[in-house]
Amino acid sequence: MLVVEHQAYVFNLAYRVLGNEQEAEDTAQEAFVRAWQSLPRFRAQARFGTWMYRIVTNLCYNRLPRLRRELSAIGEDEIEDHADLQTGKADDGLEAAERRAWLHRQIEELPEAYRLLLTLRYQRNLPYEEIASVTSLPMGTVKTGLFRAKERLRSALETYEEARL
Amino acid sequence: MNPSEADRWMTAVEDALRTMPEAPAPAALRSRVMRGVRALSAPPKFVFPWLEAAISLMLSTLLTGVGALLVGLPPTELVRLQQTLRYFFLVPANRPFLAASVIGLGMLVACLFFAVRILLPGRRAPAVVRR
Repeated sequence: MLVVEHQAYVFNLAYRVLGNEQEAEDTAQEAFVRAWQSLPRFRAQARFGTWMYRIVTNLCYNRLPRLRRELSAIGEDEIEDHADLQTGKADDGLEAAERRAWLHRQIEELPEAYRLLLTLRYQRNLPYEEIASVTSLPMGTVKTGLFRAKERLRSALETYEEARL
Repeated sequence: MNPSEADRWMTAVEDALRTMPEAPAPAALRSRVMRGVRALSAPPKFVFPWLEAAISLMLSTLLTGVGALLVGLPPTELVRLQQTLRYFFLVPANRPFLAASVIGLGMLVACLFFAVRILLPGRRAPAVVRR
């Protein structure tokens, strides 16, 4: 059934953005009910997953009015996300695992706008065009937002590593 | 900070982003969705708002009253009623009940309207059913 197949990522996206399990569950339920209602209007040329992401994102916008404002405020800089250029291999070992866990906590503390973009990009592996379509944002804003989110994490990590030395 | 150091941190960030654990969906989500969908497709509950009930009662009483008047009025009172109706509605002398019939018909239509409003499906249940 549709819910079984899609509940994991629908809930996960809502949870990552809203940061609250109960609210995420409410949002996921509402998303499925809306999808069920709008199923006759669903155009087969769009991926069902993308359509669901859009519903969840819109519900998150409704729950967090500041989320849309934050996303719009990102603007479009000349800088671009260079995620695909980062092909270096991550370190292994205890220290790397500790660093990774620390970064996971830092990601959870980012503003909702960044968390939304990062979840769509890294947990759902969506291309920029699809993220722009899901969030109703220009592609430049998506790239800038991702770049800034990662820069913030990199900068925090740098400070963290310097403090450890 | 040298460029290789910056790249190293960025690689670590990318790695952390790609390995973010997925929050597992709650076990109750599926049943909640099913309840929500069922609530949408279930026939709406019977709704009888108090205002419509009161208006219907008033109109029905009026209609019954008019009917009782026309059927059971003594001849002398009937003549008085004819005169009154003639005075108020300026209807021809030999057709004083025409105006009363028009009023009665209007009330009957109103009664039917409210009866239909009451018996037809009422308000929908909310789309999302809370726990």
